[in-house]
Amino acid sequence: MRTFSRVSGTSNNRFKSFIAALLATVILTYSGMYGLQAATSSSSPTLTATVAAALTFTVSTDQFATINPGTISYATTTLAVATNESNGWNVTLYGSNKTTGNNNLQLAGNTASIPDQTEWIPAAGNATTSAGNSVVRASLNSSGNVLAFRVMTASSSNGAAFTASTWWGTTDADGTAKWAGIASTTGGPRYIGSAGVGSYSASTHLNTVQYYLLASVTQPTGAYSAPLTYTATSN
Amino acid sequence: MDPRKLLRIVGFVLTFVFFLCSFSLPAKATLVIDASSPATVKSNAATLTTASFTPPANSVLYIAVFLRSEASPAGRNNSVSSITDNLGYHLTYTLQGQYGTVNTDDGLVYLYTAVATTSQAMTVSVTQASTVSTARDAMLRVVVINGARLSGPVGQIGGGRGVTGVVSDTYTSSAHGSWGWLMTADWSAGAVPTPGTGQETDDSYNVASKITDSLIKRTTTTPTAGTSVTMDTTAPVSGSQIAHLYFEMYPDPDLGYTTFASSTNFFVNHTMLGIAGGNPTYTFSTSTTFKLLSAAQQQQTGIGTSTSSTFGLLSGFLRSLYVSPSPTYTQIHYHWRNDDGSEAAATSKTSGVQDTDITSLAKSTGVRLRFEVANKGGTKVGYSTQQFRLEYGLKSTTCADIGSWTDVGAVAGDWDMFDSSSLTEGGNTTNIAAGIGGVVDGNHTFLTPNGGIKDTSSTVSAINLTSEQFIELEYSIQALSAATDGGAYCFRVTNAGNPTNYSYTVYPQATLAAGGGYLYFSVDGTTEGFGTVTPGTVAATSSILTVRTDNSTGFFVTVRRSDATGTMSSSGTYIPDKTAWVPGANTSLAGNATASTTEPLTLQFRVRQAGTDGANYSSAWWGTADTTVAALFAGFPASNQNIIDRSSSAVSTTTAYVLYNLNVPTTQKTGAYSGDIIYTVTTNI
Repeated sequence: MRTFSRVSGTSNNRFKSFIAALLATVILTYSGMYGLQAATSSSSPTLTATVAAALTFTVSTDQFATINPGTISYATTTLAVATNESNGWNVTLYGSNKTTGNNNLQLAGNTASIPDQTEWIPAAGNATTSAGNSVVRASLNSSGNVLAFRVMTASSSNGAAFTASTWWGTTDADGTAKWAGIASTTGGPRYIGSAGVGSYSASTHLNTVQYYLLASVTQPTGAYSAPLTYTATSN
Repeated sequence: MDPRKLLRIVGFVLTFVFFLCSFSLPAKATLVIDASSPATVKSNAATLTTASFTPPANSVLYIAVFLRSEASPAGRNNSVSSITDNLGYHLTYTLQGQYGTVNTDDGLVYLYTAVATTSQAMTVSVTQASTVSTARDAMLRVVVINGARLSGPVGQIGGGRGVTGVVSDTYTSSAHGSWGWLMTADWSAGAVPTPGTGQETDDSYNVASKITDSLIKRTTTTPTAGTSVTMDTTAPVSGSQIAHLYFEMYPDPDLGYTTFASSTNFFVNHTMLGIAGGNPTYTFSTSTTFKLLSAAQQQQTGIGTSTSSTFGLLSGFLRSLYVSPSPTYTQIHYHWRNDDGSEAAATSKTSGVQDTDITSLAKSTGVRLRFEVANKGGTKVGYSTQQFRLEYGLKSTTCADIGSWTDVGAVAGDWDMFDSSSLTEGGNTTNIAAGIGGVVDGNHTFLTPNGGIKDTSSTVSAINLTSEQFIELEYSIQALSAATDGGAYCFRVTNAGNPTNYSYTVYPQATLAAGGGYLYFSVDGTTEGFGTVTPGTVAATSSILTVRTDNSTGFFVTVRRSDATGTMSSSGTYIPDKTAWVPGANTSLAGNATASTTEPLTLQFRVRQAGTDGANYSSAWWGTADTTVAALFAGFPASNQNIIDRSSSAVSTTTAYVLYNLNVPTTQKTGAYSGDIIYTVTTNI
């Protein structure tokens, strides 16, 4: 844009202005040069790494005490999973004794056994958002005289993403809690829970599996056992 | 500009206007129907031909053709089969648009344009495809227009068919002073349509039970681009089958002002219009200097604020007086920057002060030069895309006096591009702060995307720069060995070598070191990968730093991480860093590095003795040996810390081997981690 100015003042004033302008020019010229400096050069490499998954898994089981026929007994196993997997993890369960004709809980030599609830089958694709074949206690087979299990909703830490209310009931209360039989190796191993993306925690995940046992008065006495296998896997 | 100065300028403008009234009288060019336009042809002849007419040179013929078509028999199918003239060298007829379905029961409208570059007597003929005269009732209207844009005489255009009531078309005008028109052809032969508000019928043709054609135009041109323009009819309201086409006659933006030499009774009426937005002091609240100035029945609107100290928007006579119609690409500011980070993160080489020159620059050393170019002129004449190319010249007296400029990107020479590991060729600059190497805004709008980052070639891809915009360009360059020791070099940008329409308010200057000092620095890889790291297991990788300099007091190397929180991260999750490195006061005094077994589950580094030249290695800092027990490691610091300090020159290449160790805890979230570290080598003074 063009500018317009008007010159006025005495010659003395003009001389002072000239000197001031000259000084300003000298100062500006000097300050407009950046002083002596060292040469410098930079480079910026990028470090990359892919951290692999690590997982440790331990279980601890509280065994059934001596059971009395006609009285329900409960036992638990605590699952402890520590993993850095950002995509989550899952746990499967099967019983080594369980076959089409054999039950999990057997006397030595399988001379007698306690019936199992119908083997657990989760929803298609192990989708925890859809129900499996678990049932409430009142709907158990053989008038409830069975061995069954479920994953508890309480008694856990960092377990919210693992417990599936559609599979095991929204609470642990009788009538709401759902039970199923321990699967065989043929049908299993079966997912009993899966924690997906967003479940990562630097702390150990603790979850409790609860067992239900009721024996009829005709059940032979003796020490029964059922070897079980839990497997935790990162997704 | 303060209001008092503004008033002085306005007063000057008014004085200037009346001065012009006494001699030649300027008036704004506009779209005008030339008197040579021939009478409309309305006929069922196979070929419709206008009477002879003589359009003026550089006028545009807008040719509106209205036909009737029937589905069967085939002889009653209809369309335009040809359009031509009687000239020895025919004009070029461009079909701009057509609506209505040919060869069916429908009305058809066609719009053609042709440019008459010379004035000569001519006729225009349109031939119909139909072989049956009772199916050929047609109208041909040739409108000769002065003041239309010869290249692209039609702006907005559109339409449709099958309208059973009133026609209603709307468009947004694309130029100041454009003109809206509407064509309709009613196959049901309803009443001649009544134009909507602000429109009038140019001509029409009604043949009972055959066709009703109508050509409608706005009564005045549309003053301002961006105006919503309606082309419609208000009757008949039902029972029709109408094809319609609206179009915008586009004025020639380059005509500017013309002089009426023969007028003896001419008046200039001028009105000082109000300011659009802002307040009565012509000052917008977010700027102390920005203003919109309107004059002579033209109102400047549209842009409200600016951070520029020099930008203003003018209209009417003010614009003619103060703004060139041609672009003025002004090299307005520059800033030298260190090549030590991305475009947004690198630092100023002149302590954050723009337009400051540098001295004692070593050869073969990357340095970054940021330019600001603003278009301080117009976009009416000679406006085109620009390819901003960086050039240099050796100064003898002043930069402006340099007679021979050389493309920085040319093979050999004194300067060349410097391929920076921190920049991506062709990336976009951002409007960074002056404190880190940015420049003060010199116009209203920062142009982005701009492709203004250049480190391998010197020429920016073609881009438009409007009169409201400025662009910032950042070139990574280096002086080559052939450059003159102690020489002062000036830089400028041109349009791929052509300085036409360029103005150079400032020239960046770089003076090379008198002794021809040089500094070369490289790192062997841009990415160093640890691969897949198993928690609890150490993974390692390394970088090899290469330096060459004739500086007799040697150099020092610093390192820092680019992320203030931590070196390596993945979606917000960081890998732990070992305690950040703090060196001893000199290379004989220990720093805070410790054995790798201290803070083992971290990212840590050290300068390894093996692979590092002795003059570059400090055993006090990095250990007396490379063994697990003796080797000392530290974490990457957030700010630059010395890792090498050499007191002698390295005329031949010297190297240093930097070892990186990584181990993570089992709780370290899985994922792909990455992070930048920045090495900087500086010559000792």
